[in-house]
Amino acid sequence: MTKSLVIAKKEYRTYFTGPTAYVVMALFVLLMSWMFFQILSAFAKQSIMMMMQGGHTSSLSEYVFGPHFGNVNVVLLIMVPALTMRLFAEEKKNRTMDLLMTSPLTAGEIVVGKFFAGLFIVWTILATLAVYPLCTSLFAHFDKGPILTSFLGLGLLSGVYVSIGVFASTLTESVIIAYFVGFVIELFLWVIGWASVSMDGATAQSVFNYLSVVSHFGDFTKGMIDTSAIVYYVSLMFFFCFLSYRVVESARWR
Amino acid sequence: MIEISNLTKRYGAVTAIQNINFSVHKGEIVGFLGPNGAGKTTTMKIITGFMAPTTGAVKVAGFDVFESPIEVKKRIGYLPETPPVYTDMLVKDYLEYVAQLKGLKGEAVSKGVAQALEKANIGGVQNRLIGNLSKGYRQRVGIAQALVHNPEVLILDEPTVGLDPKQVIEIRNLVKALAGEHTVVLSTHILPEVTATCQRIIIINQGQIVAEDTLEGLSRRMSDTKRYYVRVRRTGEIENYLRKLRNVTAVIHGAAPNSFEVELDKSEDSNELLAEAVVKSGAGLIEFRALDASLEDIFLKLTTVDHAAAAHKAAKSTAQMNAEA
Repeated sequence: MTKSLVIAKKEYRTYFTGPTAYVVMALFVLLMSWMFFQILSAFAKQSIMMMMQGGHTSSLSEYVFGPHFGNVNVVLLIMVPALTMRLFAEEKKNRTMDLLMTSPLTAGEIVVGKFFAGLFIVWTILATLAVYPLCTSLFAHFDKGPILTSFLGLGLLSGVYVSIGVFASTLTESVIIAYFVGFVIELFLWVIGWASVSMDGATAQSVFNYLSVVSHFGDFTKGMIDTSAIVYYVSLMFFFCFLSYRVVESARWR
Repeated sequence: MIEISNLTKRYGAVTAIQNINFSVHKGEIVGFLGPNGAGKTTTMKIITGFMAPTTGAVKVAGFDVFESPIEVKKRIGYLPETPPVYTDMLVKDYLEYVAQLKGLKGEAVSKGVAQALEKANIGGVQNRLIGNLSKGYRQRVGIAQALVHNPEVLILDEPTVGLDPKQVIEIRNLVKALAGEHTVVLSTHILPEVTATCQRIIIINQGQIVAEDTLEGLSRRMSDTKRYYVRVRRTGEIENYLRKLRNVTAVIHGAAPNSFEVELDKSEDSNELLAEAVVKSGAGLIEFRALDASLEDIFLKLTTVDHAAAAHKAAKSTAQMNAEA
């Protein structure tokens, strides 16, 4: 596994030797700040109105950070495949895959290395999100628990997206195809939950609801840590990493 | 060191290599020669474990490539057709990365890198971005990459492509210097390269080995007659005169005016007699030299399909099949 680490380190550094990581991070922060500011202003306005009507104020973490992390989820859906698309496709296109395939390491080690490189770069970008709760805590009191569980949820969810992105990248040497395939698989795992509405039978409804990546994420933003959600996310990561491993391994036989 | 038996690779309906057998001994430099598309790269990719053959087996240093690929890959340095370099890395970082991938650790990494930089003579560009290097330098980085873990076996797919003549000589000398300690298989379609570096030659054509010998052995085998080049000042009757000589089997017009290629039988004094006869004829001898069967001739002879013979063979086999049916 030390060789996976070697690959992960190299790939992670590659994001920073070019402008990729900096551009993505800067634009991500810009976008998230705009969104956060809009939600926060709307919440502030609403709170004032509620107070004038004599009602009690609602929770900051539920009405500001909940939707905020929901937005992050949408942005991840679009951003992660862009970060992972090059992991295998570029190696194949530039023929550097030859080096990996003729070095003394297994296809599994290659996939694990690439997966963690992708995961760490996404986590690095997610770390910038800490700025919003930190700044808000300077002039408001709110429940920190849901914030922490949201980060846990985002961390796991991004792992699922990265594993899907890695898998999509193993399929092709075109980064555009890798992006699009990754994006569509992710999106499908979102909308698969819609079937829970169209289906009759309670069992079918709950199955499709369980399969949806968003339904699990909702619990995390509310401050819940659901083990079934963790199992679900981790098994998805394993599943797509395993598929990637099979695709990389099969290159020998083609 | 390398043993290849009954190797066949098919891509769908296309047979890239068919039933290839050969072995390479420790410390040998073997040239793998063939026209484009002959199956050189395919064979090399199979030796390195990059792809699996349809049938057949490859053993490197006693390990089967498909049963213990990791052990084999530890012992092989491979330079593919396109050097597998990352254009966004520094030369030194890249070599360190490769060294680690090959399983070197700690001090061995920097040692391996230093030695590879020196052997490939790229110490001067070690802190430059690979993307900014010229093609020749990238090729040398590719060679350094293959050497970094000091492998027992080196597989070099057209190592001198894209290099300038001076670099070509340097690389050839490098390859020659590797003999003894390393076992080298290098492929090329450039004939002088083989003459300059290799001890043994394997000629492959349309997926099959057509000849396997030392350079001298091949030339000896190919030339069953002696050939001489004769150039004279005045043609006149010389051609007929030559034809009538006892030892002459054929006279062909040469490329230059007033020149002939004369084929002699194998008798020991035939060249002496020819020289004497030409001088006596009074045609004015300008040039007289022996023509060796060059590697080019051998190569062309072996790799050019004799269509008539092939058609005949095909017809015969169909006839046979019909008879059997």
